[in-house]
Formats: sequence, C-alpha cells, structure tokens
Amino acid sequence: MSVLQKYLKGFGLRSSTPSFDSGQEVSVFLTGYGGSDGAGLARVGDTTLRIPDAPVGKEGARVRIRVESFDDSKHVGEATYLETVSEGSAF
Amino acid sequence: MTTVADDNSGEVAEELVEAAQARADSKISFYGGKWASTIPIGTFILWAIVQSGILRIGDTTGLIAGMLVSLIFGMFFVKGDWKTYANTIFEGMTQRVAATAIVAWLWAGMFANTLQAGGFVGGLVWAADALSVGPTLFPVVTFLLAGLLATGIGTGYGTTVAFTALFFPAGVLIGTNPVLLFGAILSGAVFGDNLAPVSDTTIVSAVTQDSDIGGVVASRFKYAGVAAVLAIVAYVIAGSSMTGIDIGQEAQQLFISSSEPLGLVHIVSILVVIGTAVSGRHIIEAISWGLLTSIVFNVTLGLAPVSDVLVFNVPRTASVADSVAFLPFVNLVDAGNASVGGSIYTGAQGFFPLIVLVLLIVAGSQIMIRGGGFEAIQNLLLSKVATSVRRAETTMVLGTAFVNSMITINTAAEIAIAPYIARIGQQFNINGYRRANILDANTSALGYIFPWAGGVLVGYAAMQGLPGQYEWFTQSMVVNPITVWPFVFHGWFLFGVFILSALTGFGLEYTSDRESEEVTRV
Repeated sequence: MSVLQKYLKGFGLRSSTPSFDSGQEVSVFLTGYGGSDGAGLARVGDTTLRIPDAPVGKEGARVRIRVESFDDSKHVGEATYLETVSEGSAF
Repeated sequence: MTTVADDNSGEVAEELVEAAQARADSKISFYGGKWASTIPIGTFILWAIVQSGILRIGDTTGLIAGMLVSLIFGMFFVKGDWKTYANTIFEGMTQRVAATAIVAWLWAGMFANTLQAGGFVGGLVWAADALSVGPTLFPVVTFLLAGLLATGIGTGYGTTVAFTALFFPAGVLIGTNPVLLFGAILSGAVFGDNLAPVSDTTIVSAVTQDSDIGGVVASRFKYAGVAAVLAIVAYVIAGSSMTGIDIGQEAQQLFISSSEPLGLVHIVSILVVIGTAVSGRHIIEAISWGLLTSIVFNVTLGLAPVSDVLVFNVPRTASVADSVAFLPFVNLVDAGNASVGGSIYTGAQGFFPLIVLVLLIVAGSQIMIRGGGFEAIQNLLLSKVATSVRRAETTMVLGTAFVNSMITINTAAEIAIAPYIARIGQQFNINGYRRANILDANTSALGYIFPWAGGVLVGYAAMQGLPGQYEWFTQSMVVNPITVWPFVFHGWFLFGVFILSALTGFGLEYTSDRESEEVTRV
C-alpha cells in the first residue's frame, strides 16, 4: 500500500452490511456460535458469516476463512475455516 | 538508540499489563453493589460542580479537600475489611500514567517560566504588532502553533502549560478575548495529543487495539483534518465577534512600546525541544535541553539575569551571607524574607496542588475499577445498547466520553476504557485502526473540554501565576475552567466528526478489509 493510500484508506461512507465474494479469503474475529449445528459465526458489521467447520471454543480468536457463498439480500454467507491467526487480543 | 515511541510504548505496555491485572485481581465489595464503587468519583464530581460551577471558587486545593472527603465517604460503603480499599488508593496513586503527566507539567512549567523571564511574551507582542496579527487572528494563529508544538513534542499538557504562560498574556494584551484564547490553546493541545506519534494517548490507542502506530496515525488524518479545518474557520469567526478585556490604553501602549524583538530568540529554544523530541529523545531530555538553551540565551544576551532563573534569597544574618553574596544567584534579604525563587522555582511550584489532586483522582478511579463499577457500566452498554454496528460505534464514542468525564488524566481514562472498546469493536469485526481512532480522538478531545479535565486544570494552574508576573494582568483576566468548554472548537469538532462517523459509517473499516501491521507486544 502506497503512503498516500495509507492516508486515504477508508475515506468515504461504508455500509453497515458489507458484502463478500465467493472464494474471497478474509481474516476475521470469531464472534460466537449459533444455529442448530452450533456453527462458528463471524459478525462483520451487521453481516453474518457462518463457518460450520470452525473449531469450537475459539470465540474472540482471529481466524482466516474462505467465503463459499454469499446472499447479498439477507447479508449472510457461508465460509470455510482455514486457520487460526491469533488467539485474540490480550487487552 | 531507543526512540520516544519505543520508550513510551514500553512503559505504556507495562501499565497496560498492570491495568489488566487490576481488573482480574481481587475486588472490593460494596454495600449497594458494584455501582457503589462510583461513590468517591461521583461525590467528587458533584463537589467540583458545586465549588467551581455554582459557588465560582476556582481553588484547586479546595478540590483536593473534596477528593479527600469523597475517598473517606466511599470507605463507609465497603463490605468487610477496609484494608483493600486503602491499598487500592495507594495502587491508584502510583500509576505510571499519573507520573508521566506530572513530569510533563513540571518540566514544561520550568521551561515556560524561563522563557517568560527572558522576554518571550514581549517578543510575541512585538511580532503580533509588526505582522499586524490583531485580536481577530490571534486565536487561530495560537491554535495552529499550539497544534504544531503539541504534535512535535507529543504532550498536550506541556503545550498547554507553555502556551498559557506565553501566548495567553500576549494575546490578552493585544485585545483577544481570554476565554476564546484559552479555548484555542486547548484545541491545539487536543490536535497534538490526537495526532502525534509520540503522544501517550496515540500509543495506548494503537497497542490496545492491536494496531501499528504508523498505520493508526495515517488513518486518523482524515478525521483530524476535517475537524481542524472547521476549527480554523470557527476561530476566525469567533475572533472577530468576541471582544477582549479593556486593559487600559496606557498600560497596553506602555507594554507594546517596551516590547522588544530580542525575546523572539527563544523560538530557537522551542525548536530545540521539538527537534530533540522528534529525533527520538525522551520528553524530559528534550525539554531539559530547551531549558538549558533558554538560560544561556537569557544570560548571554542580557534578556534576564541568572537570579531571574534561580535565586537564593539568603538572610543577611546568616553566617555565610557576606562570603556568598558575590554569586549571581544569591541575593541578601532581611531575616524574614529568606526564600528560594526564580523561574525554575515558580514554574514548578504552580502545579503542586494540581499534582496532589490528580493523584487522588486516579486513586478514586482505581477504586471504581476494583469495585466493578466500570465493568457494570460497560456490560450494560454492551448488552443493551450495542446491538448493531452503528449503535456499537456510537456506544464506543459515548462510552469513551463518559469515562473521560470520570478520570481526569486522559491517558488513564483511555487505559480504563480500552479493553471494552476492543471487546465491543471485535463483536462487529471493526478494524483495529478504526477502534484506535475512536478511542484516541475522543480521549484527546474530552480530556481538554470537561472543566475538571487535567488539560483544563493545568492551563488554569499556569494562568494563576500571571497576575504575579505582569502588573497589568489582573485576577479578573484568569479564565474560570467552567467557562472555557464551549470554545475548545477542535475538541468539539473532533467529537462531532466521530459521532457523525459512527452514525453514517464515514471512515468505517472492517477487520476483513485490511490487517494492521500488529505491534510488538511487550
């Protein structure tokens, strides 16, 4: 990222329900577990990504996931767990 | 060579670990539950409002009495052994952040008073006259220069002290409204505390939100820039509509005509401080070099004798009196007038009551942390209010504001709220840079707005010394802390920018958008 980009990044209005593309790999905090299958959940703004194969007991950990499908109208998506990046903030 | 940022972040990390320990360790139980732990600070705030706001008594030592009474009062609500409560007072008073603020005040006080002794204020008045910077433009120029100094040296408190001692009397003399001018100084301090990479608040915001300092500073330009532009416009408009105090034509003319440009040589002393700080030296070292430079200028250029910087007023009756009388820093006086004086002495002395007050306040807030009061407030916010990302961000802004209203030292307030900002933000995957910016901007801004905030009180303390320095400066020109809050324009605009950002999503970034270059943890 160039210096200028670093300064201008984020300039603009951002949706409260961000969208994701299929195949996109992102790093997010695991924010909880839910649904009948107890899938891992990553709430990004008011969008929710379900991660069925997320390891249990990792709430608050930062994980890398691959988005498999995304429903733009409902702001929900399905993702696959790839790896744990960190166990979460110390503070 | 270690840099200031390295030094500071090491110290800050240590403080953060201790804070985390305090939250996890044994708690104080209160009759009336966790909320009762807010009694000492709550009682003090009430006392401060009654004393300063209603009774209009701006006496810092009076506030110390208030805090002492509040701490004793709170003790009666403690369940079981009162020893933990007493120990917590000690624990609170020995926090490093309080020491950091005190060091900034003492050093900046010595430095500013020495510049004052060397005619820097006269130089500023001369420059304002020569450049035709009238009372209208003086506040905006003050805001910009204070912002520059604070960004360079990384301490808004130090900047407030220096500018209140130097720019404030110069501005009042040429007819600027004192309240507006004090607001402009505080605004500059907010700007620097918020943006300076070496500022304690910047470091705490980055470290606690797992972000790198460089990235955090770069990402906060967009907010600080918008607020600063609005503040510049506001100071120009207010400067042209608010009138100053009539000093008396004669006294004003006399001071202006006797003002000499030579005092402006102390710009070099200030540049020495900025240069040393920016090159990575500790703030104590940086200001000490500036102080030495200013003393050399004072003495060699005949701006002020050594005795104006430091003097021992030795009683004539002392056995060694005659043999030490030749020394430039010795003055023989009548037996009853023995004392130590000079700019180093008065510059430090002005802050003594405030130092005691601040130590007691951080002790009171430590009791609130140990008693679970903070946790109760934050949990309530987290479960009931932060139910969507927009509401979560608004909660983060208002929560930071609330904690700053309870803890006088802004860095201490920031450390107390930081874990909750991290928790709320992570629940919605809000990017670390964004969280750090919300945390720091509001801490910086409100730490100079609330009348009992450290930034406001330290400026007020510095102002107390002015009537003794200048014949024309009367007690009525001292600004009551309770009156300045509407005029800290940059602070308010920064707070406003964040409220709007939280409500609209301006500048919002998610964890998934980019990863911050994580800071090294100590």
